[in-house]
Amino acid sequence: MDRKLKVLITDDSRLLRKKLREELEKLDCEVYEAENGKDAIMDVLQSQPDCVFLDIVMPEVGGIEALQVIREVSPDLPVIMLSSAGTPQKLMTTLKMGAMDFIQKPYTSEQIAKAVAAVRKKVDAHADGNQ
Amino acid sequence: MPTEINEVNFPQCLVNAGERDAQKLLQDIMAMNPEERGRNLAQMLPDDAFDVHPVYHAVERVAEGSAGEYGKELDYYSDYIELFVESCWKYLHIPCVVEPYPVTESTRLKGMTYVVSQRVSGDISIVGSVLTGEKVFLEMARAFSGEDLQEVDGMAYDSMEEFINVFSGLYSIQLAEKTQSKDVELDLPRYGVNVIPEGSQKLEIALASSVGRFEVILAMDEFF
Repeated sequence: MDRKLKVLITDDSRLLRKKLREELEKLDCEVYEAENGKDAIMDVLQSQPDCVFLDIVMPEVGGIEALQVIREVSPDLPVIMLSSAGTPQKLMTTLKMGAMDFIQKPYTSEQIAKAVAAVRKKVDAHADGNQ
Repeated sequence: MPTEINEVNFPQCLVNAGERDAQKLLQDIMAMNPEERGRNLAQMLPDDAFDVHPVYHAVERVAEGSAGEYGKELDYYSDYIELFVESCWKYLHIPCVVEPYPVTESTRLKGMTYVVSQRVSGDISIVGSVLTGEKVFLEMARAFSGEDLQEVDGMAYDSMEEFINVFSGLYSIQLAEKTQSKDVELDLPRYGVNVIPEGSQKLEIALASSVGRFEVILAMDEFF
């Protein structure tokens, strides 16, 4: 992959967005931010990121609802849930809805790096398939 | 602290047994060589004061001396506080112990106070809040965020809200398993200034920590 991976991070916590941005920029990603699910959906439509990190508990539109809409408008877009609400039920619900992964907060750098690597592999495979 | 010394909370055992003053003990713990901490604390502890769940028993003592009457919720409250104490150490690197006696008018926090709160709802609903003075609020916010916070501003509130959010998530997983709830939901965290939290089956628990004293307040419904 020659260009930077475009990553949308969606979380109502300014601190989380700041820290995750720092982490992703170290991994050579181009980072966009959204504060809630509604803004994330708009950004997916307008900016067409390569992947989305999505919190669950957010104001206005939560992560589960946003995931549902994102799946409808962009079925193949990798979505990684990054949330404190990591009950087995949430894990199953989001994975069944097509999330690529679920990372329980607090995350580690290794988890983020592994997720980004998996997305890069998927994006590269898709690009190779289109050639 | 628990995660360092094979899950035995020696500091809480010592405080429950009345062997040491909580604040002084925590200052001593921070001054100890981490590799010798467990051994030092174990040697301070009389054999008959050893307890596998000292936080549980401290919360029970608080409840016994409090004005309220508690049923099954006391079990959930004890789980909450035990996990909270572990989380303070693990995510804030701030050791703390439960003061094993009720909060009274004279011991309640004075002056300007800050509270962050979050509800966890499954088959049962619990609201937990952390009530602190300004100094402790900033120390905790700094510890969690890793940012050089000098005043209680938006980032400080955000940091404490995120800490309680992360903690509540961990608790929700534990609660889901314990109550065999279909699922457990988290409300958005909230904060307030100079708010006196109220709720049903309310239990106020004071904790001493290496950065100062604070309270965790638990209830079965919303405070403010």
